[in-house]
Order: sequence, then C-alpha cells, then structure tokens
Amino acid sequence: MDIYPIVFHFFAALVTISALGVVLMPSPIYSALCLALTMLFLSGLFFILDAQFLAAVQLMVYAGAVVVLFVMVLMLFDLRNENQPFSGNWRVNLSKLGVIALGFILIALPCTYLMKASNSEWLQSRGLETKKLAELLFSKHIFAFEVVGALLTVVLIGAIALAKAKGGTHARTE
Amino acid sequence: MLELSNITLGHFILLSCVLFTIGMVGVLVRRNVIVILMSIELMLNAVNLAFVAFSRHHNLADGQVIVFFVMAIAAAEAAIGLAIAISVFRKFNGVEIRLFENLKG
Amino acid sequence: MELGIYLQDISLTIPLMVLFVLSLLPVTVKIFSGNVEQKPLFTFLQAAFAVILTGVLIVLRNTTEVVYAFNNTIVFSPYIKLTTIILVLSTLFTLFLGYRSPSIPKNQYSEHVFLLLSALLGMLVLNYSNDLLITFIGIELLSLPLYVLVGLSGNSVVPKEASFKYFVLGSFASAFLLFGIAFIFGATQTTEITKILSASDQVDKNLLTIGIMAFLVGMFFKVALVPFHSWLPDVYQGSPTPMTAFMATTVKLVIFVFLLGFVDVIRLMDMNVALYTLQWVAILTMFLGNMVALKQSSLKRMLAYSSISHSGYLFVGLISAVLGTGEFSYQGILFYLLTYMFTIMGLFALMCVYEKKEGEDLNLDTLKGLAKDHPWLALAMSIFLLSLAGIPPTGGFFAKVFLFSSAIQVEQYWLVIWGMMSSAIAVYYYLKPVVYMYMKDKESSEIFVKNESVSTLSIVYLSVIMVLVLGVFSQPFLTRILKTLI
Repeated sequence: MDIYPIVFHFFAALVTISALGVVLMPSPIYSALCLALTMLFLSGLFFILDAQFLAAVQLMVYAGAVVVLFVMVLMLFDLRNENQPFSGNWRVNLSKLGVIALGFILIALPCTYLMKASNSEWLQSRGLETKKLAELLFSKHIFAFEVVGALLTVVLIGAIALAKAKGGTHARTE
Repeated sequence: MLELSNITLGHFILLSCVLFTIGMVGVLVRRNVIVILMSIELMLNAVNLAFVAFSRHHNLADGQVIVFFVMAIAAAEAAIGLAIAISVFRKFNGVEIRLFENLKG
Repeated sequence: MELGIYLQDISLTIPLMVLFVLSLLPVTVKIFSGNVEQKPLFTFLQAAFAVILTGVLIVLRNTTEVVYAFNNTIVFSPYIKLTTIILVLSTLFTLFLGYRSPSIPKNQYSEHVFLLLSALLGMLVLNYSNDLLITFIGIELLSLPLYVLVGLSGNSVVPKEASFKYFVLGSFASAFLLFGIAFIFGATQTTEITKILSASDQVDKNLLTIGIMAFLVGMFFKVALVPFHSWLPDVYQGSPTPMTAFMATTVKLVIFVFLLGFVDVIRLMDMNVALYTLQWVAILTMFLGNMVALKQSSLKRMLAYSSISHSGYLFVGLISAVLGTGEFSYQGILFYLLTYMFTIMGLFALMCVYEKKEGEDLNLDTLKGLAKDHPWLALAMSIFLLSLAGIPPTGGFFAKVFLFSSAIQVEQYWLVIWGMMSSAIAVYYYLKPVVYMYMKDKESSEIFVKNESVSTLSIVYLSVIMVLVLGVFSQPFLTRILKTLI
C-alpha cells in the first residue's frame, strides 16, 4: 500500500489543526506555540514535496527565528489582563466569515478538478533539487537576490529607528 | 469528490487555500495585535506551500527560488511589524486593538 | 545554464546602486560621529544630491527601444524612463517638504532620509520589473520603509497607531499579491511578464483568472479602491504631513503606472466576468470617496477621501486601457497622474506651511479669513482646489477631459456618466474652503502663523505654476508622453 497518502493526510490534518489553534487560542503565547507547530508540519509537507533545502530553511528561519521573535515580544507585555480575545460584535464577525467562506469556495473550485488528474508520478523524486535551486538563484534571479539584500538593510535600520525612539524598551516610564 | 488515496496537485492547493483562509480569519477577528501578526505569517506560509506544490508539478525550480525570497521578506516584515507594535504599545499595558481609540472611522 | 550578467545589465542598474549607496551616507556619518546628528542642512543636501544624481543618471541613459536586462527580469523603455523621472521629482519634493518640518523628529532625520530614499529605490525596482518576483520585492521595498516613516514621530501616539494600521492592511495586501503570483505561476509555469503574455494559449484559464484577480485585489488595497479603502483616511490623517504627501502622490503613481504596464496581462482574464467587477469597483470608489468627503471638517481627512475618489477616476482610465488598444488611455492616465502629483504636492505643502507644531490639523474653521492675511497663499490653495475639482483653466480640468474621453472611446458611457456626476458632487466640498477663505471673517483676532520655511514655500509656488502650465499648455506634455509610448 502506498505510504504517500498516509503521510500527506497526517501532515495536512496536523497543519490545519495547529493553524486553527493559532487563530482560536485565547492566550497569545499558546498561539505562538501553535504557530511553531504549524511551521514544523509545513516543513514536513515541504519534505514530501521533494524540497529538502526549503524544508530545512523553513525550520531554521521560521520556527527557529521568527517565532522566537514573536515570543520575545510577547514577553515584554503584561499578559494577565487578556479579556475579550475576539472582536466583540458577533454579527459583524459572522458577516466577515460569510464573505470569506464565499471567497474560499470560489478559489477552491479549481482544486476539485485539479484533483482528478490521476497520475501520481509527479511526486517521484527527481533528485538534485538543491543544486537546481542554487543555480537558478545565482544566475537568473541575481538581481532579486541583491535587492533583497538592500531590503534587509532597510529593515534593520528601520526597525531599530522605530523601536529605539524615545528611549527604547528600557526607558524609565514617565 | 475528495479523493483520498491518490494525492494530486489539487490536494496541496486546497490545503494552501484552507490555511490562507484561516490566516485571513485570524487577521479580521482577533484583537491581540501580536496574534494578528502571526496570522499574517500564516497566510504567507500558505502561499509558500502553493509555490512549492506548483513547482513540483511543473518540475521547475523557479517556485522554490520564489519561496526562498518570500521567506526572507516575510521574516523582515515580521521584524518591522513587531517593532511597530513595540513602539505603539510601549505606553500601554496590553496589546489590544480596542485601544485604537484615537483613530476612529 | 547559459544565463549570465552582461555589462549592459550593470549599466542599466547603476542609478539604483548609486541611490542605495548615497542613501546610506547620512546614517553612516551619524554612526561614526557617535550617534550625533549632522546639521539638518547637510543631511538634506546629501539626500537631495543622491536623488538628483539618480535622476540625472536615468535621463542620461539614451534609449529609443525596449531593453531587457538581467535575464529578462528587468525592462527599460522610454515609457519607463518618463515615469521614473516623475517619481524622482516627486521624491525630491517630499524631501523639500520634510526638511525642518515640525512633525519629523530632529534626532532621527538621517533615518528618515534613508528610509525615504529606500522607498524611492523600491519604486524604481517596481517600475523596472519585468518579473512578478521583482514586482513583489519592489512593492515590499516600497512599503516597509513607508510603514516606518509613517510611525516615526516624536511624542505623539497617533502616527504610531496609523503606522500599525497601515502595516496590518499593507501586509494583508502583500499576502494577496503573493497568492495571485502563486496561481499565475501555477498556470503559466513562469513569472516573467513577457513570457506570461506569450504562453497564454494552452494554460489553465481558471487558475490564471484567479491568480490575476488575487493580484489585482492586492494592488487595489495599495491604492485604496473600494472595498479595500478603510485604512486610507486614518493613515493619511495620522501620519506626518510630508509623509501623507508622499503616499498620496508617489505611491499612487507608481502602482497605477505599474498597472498600466500590466494591462496586457489583465486582458488575459475572462473578461465577461471580470469587467462587471471592475466597473462596480470604479463606480463605488468614485461615489464613496466624494460622498464621505462632504461631511469632513478636517482638511487632511477631506483630502484623504478625495484621494480615494481620484483613485476611482484613475481606475476608470485603467479600465479603458484594458478594453482598448490605443495609446489614448495611456496618455490620459499619465497626464492625469502628472497633474495630480503637482496639485496634491502643492496642497500638502501648503498644509505644511501652516503646521506649526506636530499634529496640528488644519480645520475648515481655522481657514476663515485667510485671504486677508496671506493673499498669495490663499490664491494658491484656491488654484489647487479648483484643479482637484476639475475646473478650467487648471490642469485638473484637462486631465479629467482626457480621461473621460478615453473611456468614451471604448464605449464605457455609463462609467463616464457616473464619473461626471460624482465630480459634480465633489465640487461642493472643494469650493467650501475657498469660500471660507475669501468670504468669511476670522473668528479670533490672532494672526495666522506660518512657517517661514523657504523649502516648503518654494514647493507651493512651483506646484501652482506647474498646475497652471499643465492646464494652459497641455498639448506639448501630451505629445511628449505619446512619443514614449510608440
């Protein structure tokens, strides 16, 4: 029996559950932990899609850096008075959810016919994905690479300028 | 309708759409600003999954290169978002949107 | 792989490299002098030099045809050259407005300048892009410094809240953009715009339509078309006035210029379904912007809503560009953007002139009797407001005429009728400040205090002159624009 569907459904179910956990958990620290779990299972999905480098990078960058950053910022705030985690007006929420459900159905319709294409040999490993990735990155997308470097510099200076303004996090409270 | 034993491109794209929708719901419904930022990260990750699935389907490495860039940019965006959140809420004790009373409308 | 980097590629991107390196100069000097700011004049001169040098390098590049570089991910053509010059000019004006403005903190002026120039770099990257990945990177490089710039203020909390709101909705839009790019990639196996156009026969139409629609939804967020406009009034009102000017002119400009270049791809969508949606968006935007602006008393907020309605007019022009095949609609939109830039820049410059402290909002009541104290400035404001309303002989009138006639050319009669009706409604709130300035008397007996800043006043007068010139002598500009499109 083919093991691929079992692995896929396992990871897919866990990703969906932890994504729902991010959105629905009342305490923000629990949401952050669910986000880390989501990244972990998404990394598993990348593995079975034969993108091993990206799976490793996903773990390092997202689960290892971005979520840690979120948790650090959450630690700076007083989380005891967490009353009313969801926006109050339930009618507005319901209408928003209705619109989103409609949009989701519209977008997910092509997926139904995409599912009928029945050969599964697209999932077989072709090998050497990382090498192809590196070749493309440094030949065809070299300009994008350099511009993202500039972007990271901008973010560095911008984030420090904002967070440092007027004393920073260690300022004496007035 | 949902075929369970033969995994095709449609399954991955459907999963990506589901995650994207969950992220959207999180942005619109939650009041804690850090959770809103986390929902945006969730949306970007859903799109990453779609890119990798399409890339595998067409047997191109282009999609994976794009995911590489999107990861870098999403991390940078998270950093700026958290810096903005810190600078806004340094004076307050909680990080909830109901404190946005100065900007109405 | 046979892909490589050629000398031509590097020479095409020299302006970008120069801009980036020079934008780091004030911050570097600040670092090496122990976190002490240089005199603001030096920072300003360095930044202005960077922008002017970039503009000169772009103008000096002789190009008569479309040039592709960096393995077809970047494109340069006379059309792109013209639009880039307009962007550079607009950023230069914002630099003038920001110099010694009370709403920008003095001890962070170097960072402010750096972020502004980085936003310009992002706009250039966006303009040059031929690949959707570069487009996305350009949009992020444009937006991320802007989020910080809006929030960089001294003591007041309001800009920071505006910055946060802008950030959340801007990132939401970027996620939609990316989603659209993913589906376009899934349908056409490429992200290069030229390849997307040529591969469009055997692709999956549904995926492609969904991708383009999601991409457009992301773009609609950025220019605040209905129903994605809710962030704009709060962000425009809360941010420092030079930054509002920047956002209202340049960001709108660059996104519409990009969309103009993108119309070939938009045409690939299933037009029967999509056209209805686009038309409704245009009509709702024009009406909502004008209707809500009627009730505003704060000048900044009124201008924010009027900015929404002008996005609606520009979108009408975009629809006619999608449906038609001639250059008339391109001309119309570019001329409109040019006039709009000068008008809005001048108007916000005027508001900077009267902004003595941070966060002071110019109200309709405070405008009463302005004409007696400062007649020339009142005249300038009247000319700007008349141009926005579309009254001859200002540039705004001819811009609207060209835009609506290009829509008539593709037989969008209903759009034009709705557009003219909402313009007529708008005249009321554009003329209200004029009436207050000239016909009402001052309530208190204090004199109007104005910022004696030469840089801001020069922008006001320059913009007035340009608005009138564009109105009276519009033909040379139109032919110049047409030459770049052929």
